[in-house]
Amino acid sequence: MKRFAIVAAIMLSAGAAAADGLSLSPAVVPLGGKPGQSTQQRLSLSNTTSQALGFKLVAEDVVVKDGERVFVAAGDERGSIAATAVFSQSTITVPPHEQRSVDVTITLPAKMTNRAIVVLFQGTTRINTGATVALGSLITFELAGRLSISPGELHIQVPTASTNALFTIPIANDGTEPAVVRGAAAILDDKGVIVGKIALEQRRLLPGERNVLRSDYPRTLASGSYRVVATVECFHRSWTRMATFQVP
Amino acid sequence: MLPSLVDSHGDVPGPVRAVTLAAAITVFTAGTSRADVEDTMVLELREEIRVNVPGATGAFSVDPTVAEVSAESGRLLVIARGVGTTTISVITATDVVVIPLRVAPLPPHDVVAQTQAASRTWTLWQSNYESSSARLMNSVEMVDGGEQRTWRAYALNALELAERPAGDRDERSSMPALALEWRTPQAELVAFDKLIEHSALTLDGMTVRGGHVRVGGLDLHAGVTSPVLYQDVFLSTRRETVLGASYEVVRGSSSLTPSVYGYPSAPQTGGTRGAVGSLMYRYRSPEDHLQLRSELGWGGELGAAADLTYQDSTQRAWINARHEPRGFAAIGGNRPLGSIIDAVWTRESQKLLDINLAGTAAHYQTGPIDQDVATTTAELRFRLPRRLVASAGASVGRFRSEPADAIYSISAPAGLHYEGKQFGMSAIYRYQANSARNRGGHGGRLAIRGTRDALRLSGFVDVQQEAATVELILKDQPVLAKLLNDLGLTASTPDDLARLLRENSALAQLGYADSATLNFNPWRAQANAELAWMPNDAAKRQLRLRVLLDRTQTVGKQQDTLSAGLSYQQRFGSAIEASAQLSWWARDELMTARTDTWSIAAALSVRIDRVPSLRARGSRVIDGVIVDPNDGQTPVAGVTVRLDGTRAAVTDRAGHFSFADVEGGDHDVAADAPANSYFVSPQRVTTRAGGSVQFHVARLHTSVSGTFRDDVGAGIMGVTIVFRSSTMSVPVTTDSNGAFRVALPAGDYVVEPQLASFPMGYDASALAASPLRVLADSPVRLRFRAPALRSLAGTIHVVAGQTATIKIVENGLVGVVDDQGRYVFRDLAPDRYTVEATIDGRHMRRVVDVPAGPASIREIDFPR
Repeated sequence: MKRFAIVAAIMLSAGAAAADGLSLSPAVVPLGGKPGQSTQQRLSLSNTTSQALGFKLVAEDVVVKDGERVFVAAGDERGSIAATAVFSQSTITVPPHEQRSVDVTITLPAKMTNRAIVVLFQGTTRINTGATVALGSLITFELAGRLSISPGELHIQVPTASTNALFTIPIANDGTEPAVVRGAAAILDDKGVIVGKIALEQRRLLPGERNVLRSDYPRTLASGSYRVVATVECFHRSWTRMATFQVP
Repeated sequence: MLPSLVDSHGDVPGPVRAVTLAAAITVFTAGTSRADVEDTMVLELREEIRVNVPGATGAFSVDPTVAEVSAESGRLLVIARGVGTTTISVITATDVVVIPLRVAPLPPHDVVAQTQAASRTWTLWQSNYESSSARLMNSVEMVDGGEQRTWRAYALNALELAERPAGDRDERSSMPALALEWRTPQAELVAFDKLIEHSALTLDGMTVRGGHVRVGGLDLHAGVTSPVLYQDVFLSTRRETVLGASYEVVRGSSSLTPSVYGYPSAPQTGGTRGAVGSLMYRYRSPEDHLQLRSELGWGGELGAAADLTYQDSTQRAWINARHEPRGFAAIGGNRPLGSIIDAVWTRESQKLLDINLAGTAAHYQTGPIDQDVATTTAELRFRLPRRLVASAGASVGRFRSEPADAIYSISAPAGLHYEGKQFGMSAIYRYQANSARNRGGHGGRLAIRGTRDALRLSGFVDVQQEAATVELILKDQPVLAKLLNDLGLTASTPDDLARLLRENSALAQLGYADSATLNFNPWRAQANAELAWMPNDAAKRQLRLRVLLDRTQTVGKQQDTLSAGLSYQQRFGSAIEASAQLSWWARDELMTARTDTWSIAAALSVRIDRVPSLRARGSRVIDGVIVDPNDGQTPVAGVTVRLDGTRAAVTDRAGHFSFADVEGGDHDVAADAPANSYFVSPQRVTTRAGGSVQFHVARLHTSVSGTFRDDVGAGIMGVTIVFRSSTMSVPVTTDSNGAFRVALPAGDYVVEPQLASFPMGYDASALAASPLRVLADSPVRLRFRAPALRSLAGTIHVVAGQTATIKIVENGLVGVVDDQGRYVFRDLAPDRYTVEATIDGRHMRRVVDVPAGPASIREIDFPR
């Protein structure tokens, strides 16, 4: 089946890094474990440009401050995970049209305060524009902590001639472990008949992080009253939100 | 408003089953915000179910790749698309029902056993004639079985056709077996014969003719027993009376059974008059690894018995011991008295080594025989590459028959075996020695077997110097001697003698055998060959030729025994089986006489899966009805229904038929297919008198197929279309190519695409219900189109006083820019577009690719 693809301006700061002719995989590595355990992950960088590109490998902690992600240099935070990262090589050069891999070994410290790191491939070669590029893989860690999210109310932006109907639900991760939240919504007319269904963009929330599940409906809606039913699910639990709106 | 399950309907494509909705259903009302879900609906991949959710008008799943759902008129359809978990939201006018769902992978493919339950009701008649004994045997067995009760009647008549010697007062006709049985799981009532296998110290494998009752743990027996089967019509003159009672108390894996058995009549075939009181304890471990049976009893003397078995996946051990001294109350012929202990330990390895250890020690005190036998055998089998097996072993025996001295024997075989799939071969060398000769002899055995298509060949040659042979000294009755030879009752070692006496002690008790002796033969040879032709066909044909030669050479004589047999059997249909056998047996003793005998045997058996009714005619009826389940259970009139292929009835306007005066047992009820219809239930069923049958037929259907595609021709999967007529409603769902196919009876329908079933990102608003007329034999092809939703949106950042416009260069489409600079283009076809924003005459362009599938492209923004 075809999925309803959301093509948005891409990439969160720690999302799957991509640039013209460069790709890093995997973009996200969700891991589970206990303090003291080690893991080795292989990250692969593919260069489809016509020039060789050099990168320096850096690990940084991803912490949440005021509900948003912040990258912190390894060792700056107490219980830094990034400080335990050991790379198979500290720099890497990827020839044109080739792929190279780097192994990173991470040991979970005894007292972790955050649940994620980002492994950055910081470019050392200037490309045509004179700039350098940086790509990163997000590695999250789930321990046996408290799993909890708090979805807010459903907000609706009424569609107009210049905007689609927009549905948003604010989400906060108030637990101690990373969460992946997803959802869907149905638009019903005043007779209770479904006139459209939409998927809410999936969000990955670190502990303390806040974000918004959103989706717009790319079809003109006739004048009338509508009801929206949205269901959010995470940790095998679900929450339902409902709201109504009027199209003039 | 909890959902309830409805039966899955056969018109749904793909596997369908009902599932249990646990208490996982949570009802939300507007404003309710949270639910903790504990239980989950579980479906297998590609499974479809329908669930009644009263008031449901729509449904969606959070992850449509896991499950597609739709709801209409209070009915929820769930289609498992991919492995994973998701949540289904079912919408009603005021509420939302949330159902957590898990789609599990398909289990490994199992080979479904294509076993057909054998009928438990039958009548079997068998007839057998054997010329050497000139005896004709006829038997009839009737069984009427069910889950809760079974009754069985069995009678065997033996008719002696040969002239009787003068003075022989035995009857020509006798009833060696006769039984009338009624059983339920809790109780049993048997008149006449019952094989009693109660315990080692009472009756163990003895048939008692009389009355038998079992109620719960209580067992009662009263009757007579005799090993002489063909002496009189009903009761042998050489009979002994048996009275027995026992009560079993079961607690968990153990049971305790006190028993009293009395033998009040004077011994006729050996045995000891008296009574036995015993207490038996039985234990069976939960997984049957260990079984123990022990018994202590008094029957004028103290007796005891124990039986212990242990087995697991690689080894098995068994110990059996019994002590019944001469004078212990017992029925003659049941088993030899004495003290006996057997032990066996076997260890089987799939890879390397098998070990088999066995030992027997026995002191027999039965009839005229008073003997000691003790043997110990050890055998090792090594598995070698290429299907080869090497074996080695040793056997030591001691044999003593009062008043002679004990004789010791030893045998040490070693061999090599090839165990191929179609061919096998075995070569064994053996050294045997005994204390009586004070010297040993060499011997060996060569055996082969082979299979090719329907042919099977097997044979062996066995030669031994200084062979120690034990044989029963039989009275001069050639028929009996041949019978024993055919049955293989030739003891050639002390081991064989131990077995033979234990299993056939009646031979000695009845006086057929005077005694057993141990012979030492300078040379003995045996050869056997059997050729069989057994095609694997329905007739179960079997043709066998068997030849057996036994040559024994002693100091004073040489004896040859040769027997040959040719047999054929075949099944005719499912009810009749016949066989015939031609046998020749000869014994040639140099210096004495030659004896040879021809004989023929023929057997015929007929089995039918019913029994004659024991009730009066007219008391039992089979009836039923024929309906069309797709048309509101409409009765179908004028259909011919047949009973056992011999009687017929025609359904009336109510679709009803009836057969009166039906005999007991199972009956075959079959209906003829009416014109332009076919069966959607089995056309033929088996039922019993008093049963009621329902057949389902449906009219012949016309194929209705079609596709659901988007604006670029790609199929849309998971869309449900309902074909609704005045009497039925048939839903069908599109496959991964957007195609659907359904078979409908001719008629007028309304085609209703279910908008709620559309996956996300398609505009199905233009689809509406439409009429459809389906004609017989005129396939219908339908095409539906629902464009994918694609939009492109962004913001033009302007400051106060600036004016901005937006357009798509390729098609000249101009968008509306609101006062915050926002714009959107909808209903775009997949293509590469150049979006041009103009701010106060300044042009800016961005190139955007709009994909073929549904897409909502955002943030195509333009800076100031």
